[in-house]
Amino acid sequence: MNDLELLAHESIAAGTVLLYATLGEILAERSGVLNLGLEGIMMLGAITAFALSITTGSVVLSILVAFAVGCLAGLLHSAVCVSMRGNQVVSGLALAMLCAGISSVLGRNYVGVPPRTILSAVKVPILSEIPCLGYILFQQNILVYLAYIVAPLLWFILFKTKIGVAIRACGDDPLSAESMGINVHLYRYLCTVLGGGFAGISGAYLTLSYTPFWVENITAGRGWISLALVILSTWSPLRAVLACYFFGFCEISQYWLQTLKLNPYLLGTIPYLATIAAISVVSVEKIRKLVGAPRALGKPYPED
Amino acid sequence: MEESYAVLMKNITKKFSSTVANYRVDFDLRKGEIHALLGENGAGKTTLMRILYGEIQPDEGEIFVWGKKTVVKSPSHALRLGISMVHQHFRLVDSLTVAEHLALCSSEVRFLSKRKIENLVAEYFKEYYLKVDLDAHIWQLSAGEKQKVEILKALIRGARILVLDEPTSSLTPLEVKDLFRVLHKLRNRGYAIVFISHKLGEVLEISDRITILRKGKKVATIPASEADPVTLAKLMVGDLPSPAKNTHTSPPGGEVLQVKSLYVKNDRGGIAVRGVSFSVRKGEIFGVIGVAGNGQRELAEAIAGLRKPVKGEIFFRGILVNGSGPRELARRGLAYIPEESFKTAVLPELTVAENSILRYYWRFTEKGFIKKTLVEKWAKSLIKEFDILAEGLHVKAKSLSGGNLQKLVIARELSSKPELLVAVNPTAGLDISASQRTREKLLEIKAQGSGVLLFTEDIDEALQICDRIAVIFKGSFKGLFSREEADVNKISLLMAGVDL
Ligand SMILES: Nc1ncnc2c1ncn2[C@@H]1O[C@H](COP(=O)(O)OP(=O)(O)OP(=O)(O)O)[C@@H](O)[C@H]1O
Ligand SMILES: [Mg+2]
Repeated sequence: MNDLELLAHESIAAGTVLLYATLGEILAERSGVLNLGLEGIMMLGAITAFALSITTGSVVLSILVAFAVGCLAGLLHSAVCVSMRGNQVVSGLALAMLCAGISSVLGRNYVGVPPRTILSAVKVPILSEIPCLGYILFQQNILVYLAYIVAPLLWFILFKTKIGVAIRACGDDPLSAESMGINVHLYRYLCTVLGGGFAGISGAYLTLSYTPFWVENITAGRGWISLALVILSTWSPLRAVLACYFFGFCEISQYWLQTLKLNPYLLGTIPYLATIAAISVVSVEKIRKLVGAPRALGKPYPED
Repeated sequence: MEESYAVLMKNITKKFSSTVANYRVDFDLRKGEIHALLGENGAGKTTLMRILYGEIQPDEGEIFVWGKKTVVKSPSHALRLGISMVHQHFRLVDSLTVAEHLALCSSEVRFLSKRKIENLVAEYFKEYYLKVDLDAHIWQLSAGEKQKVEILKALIRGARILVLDEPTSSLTPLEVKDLFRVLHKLRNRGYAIVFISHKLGEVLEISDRITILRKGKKVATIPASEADPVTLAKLMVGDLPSPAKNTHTSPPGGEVLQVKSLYVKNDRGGIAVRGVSFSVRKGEIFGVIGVAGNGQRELAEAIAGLRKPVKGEIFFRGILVNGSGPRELARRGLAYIPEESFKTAVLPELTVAENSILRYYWRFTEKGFIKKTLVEKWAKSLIKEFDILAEGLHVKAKSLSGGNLQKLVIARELSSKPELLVAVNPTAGLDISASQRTREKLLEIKAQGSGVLLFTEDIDEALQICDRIAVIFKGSFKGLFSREEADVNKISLLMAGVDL
């Protein structure tokens, strides 16, 4: 194992934190619902998972409950935005603050508590023996592996199944979707709820593996970054994998490059420059039609 | 309740704030019949059918489907009942492909396998000549092609009751013939079809019975065999307007538009316009006639500054304008009525008044601010002159009926005193008298010295008002006739791609 392999290995671990939240948000936005509450939901998932892992010692249970809590937050958001047709930006920001508040209350007694169990790396038989790649990709923890499956699966569902077409129809043109017999509200609910659940898993991954302790504001803006990543990946789960690992790489390499006397802050801006570049590219008419934002993103249905 | 009634609507009343769109309307539809709905723009045809389709709920009245009293709660409920509606303004998702739409409508397809979808439509492609490129995205399709997708959708769904809201307004004579063949077949197989159209000839040809609405009320239901255009028009409006005549004979002036071997690409990247050259003179209506999807849209968009030509030159008032934007062209005196104007020429969320100045809003500003009183005065005069039915100046444009929205666009563009008007199917979706009035207005601005480039799919319209007519087929001009030498048969053959 050399330094570069370690760097790549760590980048993937760091990128996975972002990946779940990004995938969940892609799902929600594809159905037309913008959820700005990711940051808060991640925190909620993080403290839920951490607290449960301390009290029960079960990692699996912690992850599942963090997922469920994220789903609940998503449910709240969809109740406001889908059923009551509230403003998605306002609701999302409120959700972010609400969840952040709740998580710091819940986390009062857990600050500085050492973890009881953490998600340990599991070597995948055979695959982990592949030189170089084996270490980078296949000596990680379960949640990293799960992401390997979830991302392509989500892509497949969105682009290769009828359900996916229906989801995209809801996000692009809910009126037409409805007149084709698609239950727009139902789809938006499902996608937003699941999307919230994914953000919960992101949080769980954070406190169970990536930074296994609890402090307030543990997510440090990762929820907001995920929102930018959705744009950078142009609403595609597969591109999201690349984008998230790239962001993970930028995060990790900052520490490394400090030793090389490169300015780490300058390096820290690269992800954001990449996002701005991506936004400019997708705003070009032709490209927007192919990979742009869902047309009805952020708009309640029915309008008025 | 007799079983042969597919649909029975009784006493339907629907009000939108101050407009009564339907008042105590009775409507029945039998199994195996084509029932036409006639009425002026804003008469309430679309509203009645949207009620049947569950999109809006009536204030009063009852609906029976196949003899059973039903409250149609939503479109998906309607679809389950076997009712399918093709909307006047298509309900297709721009970003999805044709195949994806068809997959949505089939209960068999779960995964998007190309082969499965091909199998699904093969039968319809063959039997009904409804061939469309399955991989194309909806935004790449012409209106005629979208129509086909809509009908395919309904057929795949297995609907037995089919509502077609102005299906022919975007189709060419040949396509209409194809559509009618489909409808005949469907009728003979026991489908029940509602057919909305403003074209009396079509209605008389295809339908078994005709129901006429006037200002929201039902006037009569008569068998088509007992009807003729004059009675129908009388029932609809009171009187049949005499057709506008192109009598203005003073020689046209200098060339306002010159197009020289122009090549334009379509959205799919293929060449849509191949080396077209022509010119439009002042005081002339130059007609371009052709089946939808033969490059009309691309040619019009290139001239309007919305699409960069690949090759060739466009001179507007003597100046090369390739690559000038639409605003610069508007300033120079270009007016433009696009195809599907409800999508690209109005902002549905803005008010009628705001929409009425979109093309030249800067004329209504004072020190950089829009002068509201000026705008209102302008909008009022347009509404009056073009007989636009709207609840007021400040209602959202999307609350207007399809035809009235079209009238608003026509009013705005024609009233700008253009040097050149480019109009793509301007009378699509207009009732007879509004179509007549529009043609009269075209003749009027021509008499005032404007040049008009009219894209149309209606041979009668072309012969009625154009001074010269070019036939477009697969992106090139196939023939150029002056009005005197124009001949219906020749033109239809050229439109179909037959070389003479
Ligand atoms: N959603 C709505 N809100 C307010 N008014 C409406 C709405 N929908 C329709 N109307 C009004 O109801 C009347 C009937 O409209 P409708 O669309 O049924 O007419 P139509 O017969 O289909 O006309 P066209 O031939 O122009 O399509 C019109 O005056 C229209 O402005
Ligand atoms: Mg209508």
